[in-house]
Amino acid sequence: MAQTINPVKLKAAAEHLEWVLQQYPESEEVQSLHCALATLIEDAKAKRLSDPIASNHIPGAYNFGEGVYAPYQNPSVDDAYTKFRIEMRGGLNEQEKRIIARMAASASDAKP
Amino acid sequence: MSTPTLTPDAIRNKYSSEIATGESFMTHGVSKRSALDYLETPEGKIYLNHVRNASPNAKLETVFDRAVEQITSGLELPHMEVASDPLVKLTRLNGEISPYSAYLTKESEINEALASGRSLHDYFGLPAKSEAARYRLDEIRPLAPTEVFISHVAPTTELGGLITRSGGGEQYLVPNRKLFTSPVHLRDIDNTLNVAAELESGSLSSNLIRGASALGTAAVAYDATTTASRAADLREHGNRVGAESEIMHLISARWVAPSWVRKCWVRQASSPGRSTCWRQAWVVRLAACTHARP
Repeated sequence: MAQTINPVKLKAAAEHLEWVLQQYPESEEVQSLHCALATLIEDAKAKRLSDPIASNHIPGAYNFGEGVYAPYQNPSVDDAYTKFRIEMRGGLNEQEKRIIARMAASASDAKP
Repeated sequence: MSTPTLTPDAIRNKYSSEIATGESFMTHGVSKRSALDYLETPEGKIYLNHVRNASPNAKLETVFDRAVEQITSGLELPHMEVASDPLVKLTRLNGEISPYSAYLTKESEINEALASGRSLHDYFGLPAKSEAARYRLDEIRPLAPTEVFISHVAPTTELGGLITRSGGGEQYLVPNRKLFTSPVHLRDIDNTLNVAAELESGSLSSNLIRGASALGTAAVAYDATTTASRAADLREHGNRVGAESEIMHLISARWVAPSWVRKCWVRQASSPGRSTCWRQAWVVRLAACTHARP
């Protein structure tokens, strides 16, 4: 099934990401990401985006894969960025949901 | 073989922001659909476990997305091996060594890259912000034998195709760096074997070149490349004598060479007509001599 953007979820994800990025004003890496995403964030907040965008077309993908934002955990840049990317591509598809659900199940199995 | 040069200053200046963030950098590797299928295989589940253990506080969506990002950087799906040998991280000189990066390789693959005559940034599909005339090489070792995931670097583009890189180098994906030691600096290396070209073209003394004919069996590309890099360092600091000393040290240390190696080397040295390979890869040709035993 084709993915479609949920403008309400995307707006919420964009607002959260923007807030998270603002928490690291001294970080050149984070502020570079903020600049690169500024237009998309503004469009998402204004609900101007309707066509899904593949994750590798969203600025910051390489740095994300490299773990560049991993040190910024509280609040987590990686988590906010991922949530935004997922909403930009129209949410998780069924296979993605299945894989993540399996991870969650195995995580709960591992708990004593 | 021709190889893309470093990104020109004109492009760097015009797109400084885009290059700094790597925002337009794209890998053209295995499809996301294939990556998802892979993550449902036993190997893929191990991969996900490693990514999760690397960031235990991250949300599962983040773990999942990072795994997909890493896997799709390869030309094909990775195959898993248990590694007990060290891996290396290539970083532009004066760059920050990432303690998180999953993209590593073997030192032998660096030597393969140099032997190919291609630049390291093209061979490993590096983004423009990571390319440089010189790199530092850092080594990490597994704390205990652990799984690594091997694939070939996919072609990459940046700035909408203004910058293209061929990739093709072998990458070792390490989804959980906590299972490895901290990086230890090994040495600095040139982006290509141009140091060797300088040697051949006479930047260093003819005695030195003649002396090279006595290089022995153990003078593999690793040693020679290391020496060439050290020599380059010394020459950059105006220490020409020191540079030659580095080379002579290698030569003298490897003096005892079988006759078939010496013959092969002399044959190479007396064939200036085959100039391209000769200029680009003399150390590797020497290494090839060591494997050319009849």
